Amino acid sequence: MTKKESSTKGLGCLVLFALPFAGVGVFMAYLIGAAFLDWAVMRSWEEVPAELISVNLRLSQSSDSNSAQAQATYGYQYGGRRFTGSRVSLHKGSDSVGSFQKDTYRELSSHRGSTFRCFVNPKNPAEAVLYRDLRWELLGFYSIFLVVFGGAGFGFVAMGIFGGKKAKREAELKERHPEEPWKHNDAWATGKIVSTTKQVLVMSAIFAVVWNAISSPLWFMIPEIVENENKLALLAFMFPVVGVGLIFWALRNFVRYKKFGESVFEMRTLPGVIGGPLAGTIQTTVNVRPEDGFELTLSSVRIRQTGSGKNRSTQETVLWQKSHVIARELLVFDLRRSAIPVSFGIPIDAKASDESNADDRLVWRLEVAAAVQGVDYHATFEVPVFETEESSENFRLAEDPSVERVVPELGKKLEQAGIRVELLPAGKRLVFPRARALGPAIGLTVFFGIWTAIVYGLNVSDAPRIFPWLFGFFDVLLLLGVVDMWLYHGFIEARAGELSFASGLLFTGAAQTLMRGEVQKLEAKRGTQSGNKLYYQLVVHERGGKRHTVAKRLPDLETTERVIENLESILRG
Amino acid sequence: MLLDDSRGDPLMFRARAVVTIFLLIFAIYAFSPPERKRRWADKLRELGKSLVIALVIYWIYMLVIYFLRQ
Repeated sequence: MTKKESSTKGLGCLVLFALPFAGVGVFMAYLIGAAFLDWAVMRSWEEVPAELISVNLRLSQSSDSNSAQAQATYGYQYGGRRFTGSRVSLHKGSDSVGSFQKDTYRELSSHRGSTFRCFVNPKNPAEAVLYRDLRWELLGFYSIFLVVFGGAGFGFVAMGIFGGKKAKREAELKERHPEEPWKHNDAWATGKIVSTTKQVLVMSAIFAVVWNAISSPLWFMIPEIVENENKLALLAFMFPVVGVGLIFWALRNFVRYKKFGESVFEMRTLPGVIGGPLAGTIQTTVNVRPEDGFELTLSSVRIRQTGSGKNRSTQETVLWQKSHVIARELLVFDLRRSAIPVSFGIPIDAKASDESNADDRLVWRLEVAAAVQGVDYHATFEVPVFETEESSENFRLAEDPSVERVVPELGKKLEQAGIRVELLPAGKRLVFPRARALGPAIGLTVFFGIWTAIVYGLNVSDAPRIFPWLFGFFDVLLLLGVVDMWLYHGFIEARAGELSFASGLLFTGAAQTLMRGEVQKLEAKRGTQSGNKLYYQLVVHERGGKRHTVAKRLPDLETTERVIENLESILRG
Repeated sequence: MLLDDSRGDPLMFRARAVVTIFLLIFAIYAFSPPERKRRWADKLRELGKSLVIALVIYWIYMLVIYFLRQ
């Protein structure tokens, strides 16, 4: 099967999957519409006395709810003729929303045998109703289903149709530019890439609305929860807390969008080149004046979707990351906008952008952040990075005179990272104490605590044994991570022609010394990831192929590379 | 110690725990340089505003739900 056929089939499946949801949405819209129509018509019906013949409350129980329906038969006279009616409310059927059915039954029971009133259709007197008012609580309840199911269903259908058109367009572009994959995506083809600010705002707003709509039936259950004093059920109130959090998040995105609008990254090199540069200018629609400059970060991120249905999750792994700070933008005298220069060098062994598999994508993300008064400036761009004819193993990024980089003194940077630099008579020693990355260490420890509580809960509960074992296994891995975060430490000493180092958890043991000829290379290796921040490790490669991890959790690639450069120059003498 | 004599009284324990956390945060704030203090205050004001608006939106939403229940 070709890729195109498979994607069309996938889209067809998506639309098929969405149809039942859309159907529920349409049905709810019909119920709401029909109720309004009946209400408008019934307003002109005439009120006449009615004699209640029988009154009954029909209860139906199911595992989920206890619904009720007030039923009655009544006799009335209209135009000199006698009729019998049985319609109680404008809304037909039984339900458990609010107390309408029980209240109605109570009221009708109290009038049994005496005179009540009903509303008669003058055009067809056989048609009558006892209550012709709209039930807003029921309409509200229907609206929730309309929004959630209709929204999801039609959203998926729209996604299917839109996705289909996009796939078709992409296939056309692929045929036209088989050797230039960056031209397969309309957002990339012109080299002017719009930030994801608006996308993030829309996504967060939709997420907040759907989450709160789904969790709203909870508020209908409060009296029951309080009555039963079910303490475990109180955990369900986490949903509204998350709901408020999501509104807060959407609001922050809205404020950021209102304040800064969308930024555009105009690429000077299209695409970004593996073993070459990624350069251009970020154009903003307002003037951004940060005190500490603009922090630019380029990351290569692998995004994998795993599991299916409810267990579907997205995992982001940062494969490579480089960041630097630039002092000022290019249009310092223009008060209406800013132009932030971008210039990165991409290593030859990096992986190219790859969107061919939706479950396993490789994305290059350019982020710019600046601390200003109020909401900070932050914009993200998904940029194309590919191997081209210009790709070269020997590429070195040339200094751009227009870019004024803030290059903090290495000593200061290391001091900020908690690394001690000691000068030796003929060399230098770098000491990496324990627990330097305090934030991630605390974060992981808290996560470990929560996870352990879950394992304990599973262990004392009736859950099948496999669950505490599986969760427990992961807990052990987490514990190892926590221990490593807090205790790993070491040092490295460089002298002319000689390199000594040692590292460990509790003790470092005896230092190992390698002569210049025995050291193959020093490498900055990808280390722990905390959120979107990637830490690096310092690894010594011996000529025999043996590797030694001397330091973990170094702040960033640039610092690690500068440390390596520094150590290598001492080693060379 | 703030938490010493709170054993046996869960409410007092929680109250003291909250006070301790606030004191710690205040201590960190108090010993921060003025420049950082100014930034913190600015960010706190900004975040506070968004939080209050989020709570108001949710409160209105709860009112709607409450009236639907009647």
